[in-house]
Formats: sequence, C-alpha cells, structure tokens
Amino acid sequence: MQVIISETFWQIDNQLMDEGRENVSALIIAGGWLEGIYLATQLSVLNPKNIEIKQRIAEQKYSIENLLNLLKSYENSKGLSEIIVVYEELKELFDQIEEKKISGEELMEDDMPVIGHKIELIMSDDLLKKITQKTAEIRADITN
Amino acid sequence: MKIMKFVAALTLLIVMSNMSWGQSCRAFAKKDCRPQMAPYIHNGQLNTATLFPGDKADILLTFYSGQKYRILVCSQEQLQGLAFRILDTDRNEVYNSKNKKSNTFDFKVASTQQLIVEVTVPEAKAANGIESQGCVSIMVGFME
Repeated sequence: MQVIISETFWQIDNQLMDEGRENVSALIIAGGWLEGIYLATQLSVLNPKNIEIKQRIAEQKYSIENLLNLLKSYENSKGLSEIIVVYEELKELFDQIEEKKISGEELMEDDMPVIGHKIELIMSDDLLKKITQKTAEIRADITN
Repeated sequence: MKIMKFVAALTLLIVMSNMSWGQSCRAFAKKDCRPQMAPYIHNGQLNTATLFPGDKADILLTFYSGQKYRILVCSQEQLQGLAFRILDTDRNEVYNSKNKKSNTFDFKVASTQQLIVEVTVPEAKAANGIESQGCVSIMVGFME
C-alpha cells in the first residue's frame, strides 16, 4: 500500500512540477494530511482508550509545522492563503502538545542503530477534543 | 534607458540560467540518486541544492518511530568527498558519515522526532580559478 501511494504521489508531483503547478501538489498534500488526521481523530472518538492512535495524532505536531512551511512557500497562489489561515489555527492547538525529552542510550534494533532522544508527547483529553473539533470544522469547510 | 534594458536582460538571463540549473539538478536527483534508495521506498520529496566547495546546507526532517529509514546524500561528480551529519534539534550530533565511505545511512529512531541533516562540501582548490558548483540531493526512504 505504501509503495503504491508513494509511487502515485511521485508521479503526480512530477507531472505537476513539469507543468509549473507545484501549488496544486502542495494542496494535495494538505488535503491528504487533513483527511488522515480526520480519520485518526474520529477513530479516537470511537476508541478513546486506544493509546496508539492518540500517540500518532500527537506526533502530527511535527508534520503540521512542515506542512505549513510548504504551504507558505505558495501563499500567493489562489486559494492557498485561506487554507494557511485555518491550518495555522490548527497548529496553535498542536503547539500545546508538550514534549518531554528523555536521554536515550545507543541501541540496536533489527540490526540497525536507533538514534535520537526518547520523546514523550503529552496531550490532554481536552486538547485532543479541541483538535478533533477543529479538524472536523476545517474538513467540513473545505468539502462543503 | 539602454542600461536599464541591459540590466533587465541580464536579470532575465540569470533567472533563466538558475531555472535551467534547478531543473537539471532535479533531473540529476531523479535519474542518478533515486535508484540508490532501493529497497527503501522514497518518501517522494526531492531536496536538492546547488553547492560550491566549502558550502554547508542543512534540512529539518521528521522521522516516525517504528519505521526503518535510509538517508541518501548524493552529489554530482565535481563535488568530491561530501560528508553529512545528523543532529537533533538541540544540534547535538547523533551520526557523522566521516570515515564511513558510504553516502547512505540506515537507522530507526527512538521516538518520532525531527532531526537535522547537515551536508558539508569540502574546500577544494579550483584548477582554473573557477569554482565548480554541483548539485546535491538529500533523500529519505523508509520501510516498515
């Protein structure tokens, strides 16, 4: 599945770049990311005790930062400035997720080095609820 | 007026040469670098830059726990002896390619986090007094 998605995106992205429509590629990424967050947050509503989903949602605090940097590079393109504003509002919520770094020792796993800190992301249930609501609002605005 | 026209023409020429260089850099990354990513799945991002000897460039990337990653740093022939480091967001070194004789690094991360990939092009004496610029690409591949 990952291979198919990656290859398809690669082909679309190349086509759009060749046609000078990089901004459309950025919009596809923004829309795909939002849909992913929407599905994850809705799953979290259905399974509030599923820690793994909560963890994956919290990790998107890094992705939304990268995504906004990408969108901002096309902020003069039609339709993108409005998207940037609402994604900024969502980022403000993700920024409230606390990051606790725990110094890690060097490890090997699956015959390869494991690098970086062990990081605990702390997101309250109330914050998750706000992220869930905001995501649903943005999605509804875009799709309606 | 003639001077203004000359400046405008010169500017256009510079912009066009940069555009064609940028496009050829992208083409180089697609054709010569991407195949080296196998068996990892390329994440679809082409991070390319045109660098001179002595230049340093870095990029902030997000890595997710549970995935195996390959970082590939690839350059055109005229830029010899390229080295790269991986740093955490506090700029502590977690990997250095020096003396490793490989332009790839396979690893996992202790937790989902952002890491900086820093590429350095060693100083080189230009034979004819003209420094040779070259294309450098940083690519990320992943697998479960």
